[in-house]
Amino acid sequence: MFSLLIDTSGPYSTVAVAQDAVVSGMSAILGRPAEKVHSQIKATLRATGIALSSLDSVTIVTGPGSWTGLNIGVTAAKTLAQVLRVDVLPISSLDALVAGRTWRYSRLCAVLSAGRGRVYRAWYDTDRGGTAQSGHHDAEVLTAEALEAELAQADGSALLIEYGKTVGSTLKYCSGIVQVLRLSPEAMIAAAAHALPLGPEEAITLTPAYMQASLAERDAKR
Amino acid sequence: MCVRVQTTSPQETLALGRVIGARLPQGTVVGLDGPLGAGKTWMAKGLVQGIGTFDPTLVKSPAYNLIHEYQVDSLTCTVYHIDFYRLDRLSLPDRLLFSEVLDRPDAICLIEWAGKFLGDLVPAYLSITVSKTERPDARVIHVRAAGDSPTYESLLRDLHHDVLAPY
Amino acid sequence: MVILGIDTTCDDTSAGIVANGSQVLANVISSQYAAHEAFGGIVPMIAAREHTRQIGHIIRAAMQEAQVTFSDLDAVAVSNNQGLLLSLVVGVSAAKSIALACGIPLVGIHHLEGHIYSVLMAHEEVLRFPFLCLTVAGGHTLLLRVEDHGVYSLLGHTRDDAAGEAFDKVARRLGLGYPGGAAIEKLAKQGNAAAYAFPRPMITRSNLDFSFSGLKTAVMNLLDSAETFRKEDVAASFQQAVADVLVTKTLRAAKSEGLARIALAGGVAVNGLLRSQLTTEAAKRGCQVYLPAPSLCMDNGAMVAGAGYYLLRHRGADPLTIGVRANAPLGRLQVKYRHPAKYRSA
Repeated sequence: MFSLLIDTSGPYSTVAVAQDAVVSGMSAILGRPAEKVHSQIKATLRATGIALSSLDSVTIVTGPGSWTGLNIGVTAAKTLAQVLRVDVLPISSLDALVAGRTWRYSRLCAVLSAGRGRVYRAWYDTDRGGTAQSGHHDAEVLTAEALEAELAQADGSALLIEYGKTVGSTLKYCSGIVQVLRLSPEAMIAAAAHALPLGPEEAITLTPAYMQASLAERDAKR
Repeated sequence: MCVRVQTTSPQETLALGRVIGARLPQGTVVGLDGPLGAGKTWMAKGLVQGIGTFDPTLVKSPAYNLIHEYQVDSLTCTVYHIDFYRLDRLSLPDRLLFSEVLDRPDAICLIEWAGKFLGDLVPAYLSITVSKTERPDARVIHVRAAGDSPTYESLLRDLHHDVLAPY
Repeated sequence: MVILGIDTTCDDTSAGIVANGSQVLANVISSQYAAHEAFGGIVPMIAAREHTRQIGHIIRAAMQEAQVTFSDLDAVAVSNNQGLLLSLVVGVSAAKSIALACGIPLVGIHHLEGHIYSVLMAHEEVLRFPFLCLTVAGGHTLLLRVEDHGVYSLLGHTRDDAAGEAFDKVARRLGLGYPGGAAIEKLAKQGNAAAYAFPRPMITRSNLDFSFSGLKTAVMNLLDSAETFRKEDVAASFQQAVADVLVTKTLRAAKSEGLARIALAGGVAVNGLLRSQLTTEAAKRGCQVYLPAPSLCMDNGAMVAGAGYYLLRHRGADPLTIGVRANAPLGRLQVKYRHPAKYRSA
């Protein structure tokens, strides 16, 4: 099974090709997905000797992240799928941040900048082997202060994982912090394993996924 | 604090825009309000001329395209000229679209019809309201700091002290 | 040669399919599909943020209408210059995916080139270079000298509001629907165009630039004043003032450029008064006016496909790394800006 994986949500435009869940090749370029992502796809396929027509699926990060980047990536992925008549696997950038490897913390807090001192945030527990549990039920937008309060409550058992530059460096209380500049293909493959595949018909209306501001934030505004 | 300025001709209004524009640091968000025909776009032309070198005839109403981008030569920043005129409501995708532009620390954003939605998108901004008078060429311009921000209060005080007092 | 053209420059998501440069096999525009159940009912006036959701449907609908499949396409063209950046990138991304997956050439065109080709598509046998093109739309009003495929000189442009914007703003202020141009034209039929002497801005100046904000302001001042007025008369007088400015300046340009062929393009090109007045006045001066098919006047993908056909041949294909520019004046392409001072008054 050949899969194409695309991420345009963060600072890098990342493309990878995998065969039976093993990475065959990849390309990562800083910024400019509008210009680069399609040539990255072409180059990666050529370098790995895999034909477009051999692809069985396209995995795409649908959010959160750069709004322009996401619209470019989602459109690129689902249009390819529409022509090739293959499935689309949508994955979350936050899920992909914690997938595909083991961690030494029992709790993981994945964040990505939402502008103006706020972050998109999702919590994950790890199992005994250190693998993040799939799915997140409480992904929200928070202020840096609210995030700090949550981390303080975790009392040393949580690792903060940032995708790109966020508020991490400004936090006073933080037991552990890791900054990731680009998603690894292995992480995307692992996240895709839990994705709900969309057939080419269903994928035709796919749009970037975004999160509502948390209820607390909305209430504070009133 | 609100600064009230009177101008007697379009040229004076443009000149006022220039002196204000020259004092705007990168990252500033300016809201432009006033009825149709008051001169929001005209004021934007002045502001852009003050910010840096740019052909003012290329500063046009963004009512249709929503966002115009001007690469101003003397600065490594982009001026985004936005117009909320055609928006009846701000959906979440709209919010994400405009936020991506308004959050850029190295840009200067000028938003016409700011009063409609700008307060929902940024915590504070410099508000310039242009009002017509009985005389067709004269205008009354109110400048204030909208929202609750020491940065914009301070910017307003500097503007008042340095450039607006003579008007 | 069958070409798919995609246009997502601002509000509308559109895909069109054209054979051999001028035969329109399909032209699907999202605002005209507003009530389509696939889009969940009525689309609000601002549909710019629906491009990602709609693009797949629109492309598929165009292919169904043209009765072609992806393997029938010979090239794909897309507007990648001039418009709202977030809208543009969606069309370009879709076009690049199709070019890549089908192994066909990609052509990026400036949105305004699409409008120029809407006229060429209707008159390809007879409209020879060079010709004058007045493009009047929501976001643009400009006069171009079209030298050859892909070679233009900018003669004049609006300095503030585009003509289409002036129509929309006046229409809104009069409480009419959107799009404003059609609403005003309809109302004006029952009005007296001589009722109000609205200013014709810059009409006596020798340069070829336009300015409509003064005219817009004059209309607003009247509507704000205590005077009683008939909406029909305001609409008719306003429409007449716009037509007078556009026609006068266009013919002045035709004379100074020594051109007898005049093309009219853009969304406002459907306006009946503008079409007839330009044609009549041009004929008096020995000039011929060329109009596009009404369905190709507003932003649409078919004109992009038509432009792509010719530009593929004359400029060649573009690489997959072609960029997107939101606010590219035509000067960044094969266009020479002309200094307005060179022009004598007509």
